[in-house]
Amino acid sequence: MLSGFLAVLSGLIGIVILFTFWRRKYPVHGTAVFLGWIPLAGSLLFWVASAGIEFGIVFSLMMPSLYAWVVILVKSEHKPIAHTRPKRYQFQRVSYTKILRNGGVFFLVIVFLAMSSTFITLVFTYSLPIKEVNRMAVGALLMPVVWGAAVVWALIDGRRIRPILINGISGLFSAIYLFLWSH
Amino acid sequence: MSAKSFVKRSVAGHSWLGLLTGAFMYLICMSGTLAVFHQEFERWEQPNVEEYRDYDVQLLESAYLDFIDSHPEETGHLHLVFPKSGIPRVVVENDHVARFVNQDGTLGEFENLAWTKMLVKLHAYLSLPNTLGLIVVSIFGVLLLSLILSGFLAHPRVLKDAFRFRRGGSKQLERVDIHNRLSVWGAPFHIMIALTGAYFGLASVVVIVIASVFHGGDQDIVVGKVFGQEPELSQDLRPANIIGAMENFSLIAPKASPLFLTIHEPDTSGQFIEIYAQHPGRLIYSENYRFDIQGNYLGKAGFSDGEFGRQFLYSTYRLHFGEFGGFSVKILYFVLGLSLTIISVTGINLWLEKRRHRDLINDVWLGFVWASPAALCLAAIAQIIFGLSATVTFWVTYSLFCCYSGWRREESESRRNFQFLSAASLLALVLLYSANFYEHALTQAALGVNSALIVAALVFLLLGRKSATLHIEGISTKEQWV
Repeated sequence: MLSGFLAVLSGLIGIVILFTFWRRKYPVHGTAVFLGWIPLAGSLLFWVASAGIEFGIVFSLMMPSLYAWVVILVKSEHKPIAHTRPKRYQFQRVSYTKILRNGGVFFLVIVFLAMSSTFITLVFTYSLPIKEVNRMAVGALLMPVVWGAAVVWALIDGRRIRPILINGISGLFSAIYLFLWSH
Repeated sequence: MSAKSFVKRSVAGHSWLGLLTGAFMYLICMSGTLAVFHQEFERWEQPNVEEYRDYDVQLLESAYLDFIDSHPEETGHLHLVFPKSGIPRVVVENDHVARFVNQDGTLGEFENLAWTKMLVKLHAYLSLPNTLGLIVVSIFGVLLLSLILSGFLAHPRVLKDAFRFRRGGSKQLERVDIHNRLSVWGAPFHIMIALTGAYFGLASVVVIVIASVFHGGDQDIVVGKVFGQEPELSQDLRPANIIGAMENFSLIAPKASPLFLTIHEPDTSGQFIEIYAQHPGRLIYSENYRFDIQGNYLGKAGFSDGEFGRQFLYSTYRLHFGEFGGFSVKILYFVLGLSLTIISVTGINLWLEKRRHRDLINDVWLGFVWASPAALCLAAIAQIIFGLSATVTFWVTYSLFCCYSGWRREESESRRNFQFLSAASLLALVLLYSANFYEHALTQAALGVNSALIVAALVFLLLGRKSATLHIEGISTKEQWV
């Protein structure tokens, strides 16, 4: 009970310090922000003492958002409502070019990158010197991250052909390795 | 690529992903936020069922024997669900039917949780057929990860403005602040939800690939490596000795609390008993203790102390649904889930706001967001009071509301109408529920949910009143511009 209270208190103190010094031009700004992170990180120890290591880690990751949102709400800037000119209504025209282009990107994101990410992740995890069940766990954790990152790369790279080629070639070699050489 | 152009492309990528996922993400997050309380809804949906925490194993065994006599149909599993903190009720079920067990060991009502199941299926499968739905929803988990990553790349000031919230003023600025502040501080929770959510459906795909690459296509070997191989037994056919298994279990794991007991492949020579038990302070769903049909201990699956990978994979369920640490964790998950729902709505709203014109998408999207509470309530009324399908009612009313909103072409008026409709349908639900269940509406199981529904109705009334004021102001502003 006491550890739980200390965990909340420590997290709150950390957030309040961070808020106070976040964008201020005080000479001690950097040190103060650093000092704010200490009680916030320290709340992990109290959470672990209060709820055990597994629950403690989860609580210490989730609770700061609540403290921060409360501080943000309390200290929000109020402004008078600005009325904007109403927008005109316009009937949407179907653009087949747009549909085709977006359909292509959809295929790239959902099908192509899913396949390449799966093979790349499997080659990586199955080359780790750990037991198969642990490889599966690492793979389950890593696969969405690899796929998600590949999606972002494909969407923001100026030359879309680059992520397509690199992911495609890596995925292809990974698949060949998995299906041919690993047997 | 310059920094400016990088940010521009990141914004474009983030918007594209947001638009691709927005509507479905909203449905998944909204239903998931409510589904955190699925145990409470289950109790509320059938408030007239006997509730108790202390049970006599002999009476449970007699209920199990009565059940197999009354329901002799072929089944792959027989389950005996024990009362636990979330739901203090005993259920005995096979693959086709589930019945509650009264405290005196007699068989009680049939389990009928259609509305809660509809809500959970909406979250886990988007109401699609199970395997397809699970994979589709898991893909949204991956895309949520991409959205989080692209969101951070697209907003270089997101950390600088970590504490800034400009209320009032320009609607767009207010929405940007809400979207970004909720996203940044909620990121650890959002990442965890995305990763665990992606795991549920993608695991089945990965199992197929691993099986075909490393195990000659035998998926059972892969599944067995994670969840443990089932014991191979050859025994005489007889009913399960539940008392013996439970006695042995309490000696083997005195600190663990049993969640449910399963008889695998009943009425075959290979049948065996498995007791799923929760370990205090652990995120693993359970440790599974196996017994032969006479109740002799065979061994455990090893989720509590086995390989790290096995423990980790078996912890994803509790982590994703917030089923650990009691009711306060559910409240925490509700708040954080609500934040993700708001993020998915404000993201689309920002895109709509930036456009120079408005069209059908604006109006339908408004209906999609604000009509969902009313559609869920009407589905509950249809199912619980009139016995009509919750799923059909939800999708029919939801589609009609979206059509109305698109046809009406008055955003502020439609918003106000949907908010008042939500309030009215919530109050109607509570009234009809009380009339239907009479004194049972005042049981602990019903009272908590009904009180929450009344509070939600009041919130919608207040929102509707605010929208009505803004609607009137909007009319005068429109006249001013005209």
